[in-house]
Amino acid sequence: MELYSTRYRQLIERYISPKDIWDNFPAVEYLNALGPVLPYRDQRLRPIKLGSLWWPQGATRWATGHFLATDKGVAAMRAALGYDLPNFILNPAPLILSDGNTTITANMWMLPPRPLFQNPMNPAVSATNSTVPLTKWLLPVSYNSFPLDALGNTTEPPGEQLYLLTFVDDRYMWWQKSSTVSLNPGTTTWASLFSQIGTNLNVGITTDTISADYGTPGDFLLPYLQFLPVVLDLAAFAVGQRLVRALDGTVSLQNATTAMTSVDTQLATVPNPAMGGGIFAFDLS
Amino acid sequence: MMDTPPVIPASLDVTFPSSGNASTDPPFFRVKVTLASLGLTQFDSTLSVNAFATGILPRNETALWSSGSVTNAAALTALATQAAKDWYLYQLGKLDIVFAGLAPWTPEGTSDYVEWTQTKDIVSTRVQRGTALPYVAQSPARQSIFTGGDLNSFRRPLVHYTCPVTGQSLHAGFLRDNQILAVPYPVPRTEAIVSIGFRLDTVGPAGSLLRCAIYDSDPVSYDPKNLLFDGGDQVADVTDGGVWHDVVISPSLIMNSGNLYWLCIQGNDTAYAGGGGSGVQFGYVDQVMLYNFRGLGGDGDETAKFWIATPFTYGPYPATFPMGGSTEEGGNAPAVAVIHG
Repeated sequence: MELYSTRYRQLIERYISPKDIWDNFPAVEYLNALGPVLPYRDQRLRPIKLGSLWWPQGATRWATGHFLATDKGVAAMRAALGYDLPNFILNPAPLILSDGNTTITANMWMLPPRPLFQNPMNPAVSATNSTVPLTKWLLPVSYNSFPLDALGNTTEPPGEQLYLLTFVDDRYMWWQKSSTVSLNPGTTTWASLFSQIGTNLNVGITTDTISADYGTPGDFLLPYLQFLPVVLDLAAFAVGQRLVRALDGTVSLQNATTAMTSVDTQLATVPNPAMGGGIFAFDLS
Repeated sequence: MMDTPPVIPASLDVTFPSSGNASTDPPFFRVKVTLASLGLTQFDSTLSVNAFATGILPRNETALWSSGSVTNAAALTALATQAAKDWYLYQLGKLDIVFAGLAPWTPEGTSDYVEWTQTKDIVSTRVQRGTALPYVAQSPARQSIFTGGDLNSFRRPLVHYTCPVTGQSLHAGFLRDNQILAVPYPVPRTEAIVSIGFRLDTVGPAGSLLRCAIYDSDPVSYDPKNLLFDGGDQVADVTDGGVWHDVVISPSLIMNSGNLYWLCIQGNDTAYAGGGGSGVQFGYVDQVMLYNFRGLGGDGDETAKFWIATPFTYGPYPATFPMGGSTEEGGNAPAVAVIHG
């Protein structure tokens, strides 16, 4: 995948709406109808950030990575992923980020590559493409015609079309899992509910101890059983816990104490120096 | 260290929707939980806690009222205390930090997200806690569920909604046989409808059935047009004390913003016999706004018309609404209502 210039990032963030990326998302209308039921920031309004892997908390949101690749890169990636499109066989594969010291690895799915700034009038490679008279609207810049020197990407070979690659983790697919969860208010336990959801999602879900004071799942969850990620997040909030999907795919519900212990441990051991932001102060220690 | 104003409320009102008598019981049961009572010493009283602020933590468990008091108050109080404690502890999420390089950060429950970035300009890792005070949206706010007055004007989950031209007081009335009754349901914003229901007040003779449906509308005439959902036969000969009968719509039906839909009901009880006084008694809603609905009420008799009755022999709803012989109706409207998710 390409390491690109600031110029590319600016163009993409300016001209491509993040909503366009999710226009094929299966539950857009449902999310719109849900309104403010879930407390999370709206993922679909999050800007496209090239070269980033965004890993959110919760079941209803999914990890997202945006990158660029040329057509040759896309073809190579499809081959490596073993895509068998005629038979609708898609496979996830490890997405690996490395800075020489640390490697971040997560199994991700590649969504359909989205063509970027391609010039349909000038499929042939030519340095004069940008001077062809325009008889209809074209996207603002094409990889072919944009002066590469100004981008600082002189090593990139001309003549290849660019694609926006969007990678997602399993949680994106959770929205497409049909539910056979049985919830009998007053009888079904929280443990049973989480276990059933995990079975439907084909993933084990561990929980911290659920206080008996939370009783049993109520009928308020019934309308949300249609989409497992929604009922999973709502149920987690209802028992004072949050869903965390780790980079290795394990899924757990954490209470605040477990989560804060993890934060403190990692702050004490992470080797990377802080370069921005910091720590909120809630006490004087 | 980052400076933070004292944004943590000194107490939380944990609210539970009520199930009781709308005319005598409050709509919510409230349990106030103070931060001090929880013994959480992690919050500095000066830096973090606003002594004058109270947050609201809505819950979905139902407060059961009887004879002016809540019968499950002890359980709800224990639940409120635990929920408040968990909520306060999650407010201790303390990171909005950027590490140089790719940090091996393991996602955890207090952080809203972890973001690893690797571009030509920067290689970094950002860890950010969730929204500052999400207490008003911790769980879906649920309105109270009273035995009366349970049609609401604001569309929220788990509440019945019907034509906005009606009032909210329910009355029992006889359901006309061999007719489809249709009330208009305008949709200002896209909604996922998860059920359609009716309220049965008095059962009919053995074998009595009711049947609900949803139609879309003709874009020109606004008349009901294409069948979207047929709820099938629902028994109406079993005593149930006048509660709502909801037919689940699964997968949910998406009603798109800016469109008009029609909620329909029909019954097979012939005891009505053109106005007779026996048989199924069904919920009707006050008509409190004396206005015609767009497309209806044009017959010059100056009586507000906003729903439709059309002759139809009881059975499955036809794919196209049978407008032939239909009449425009006013007065109390049939209480057929939907719930959206």
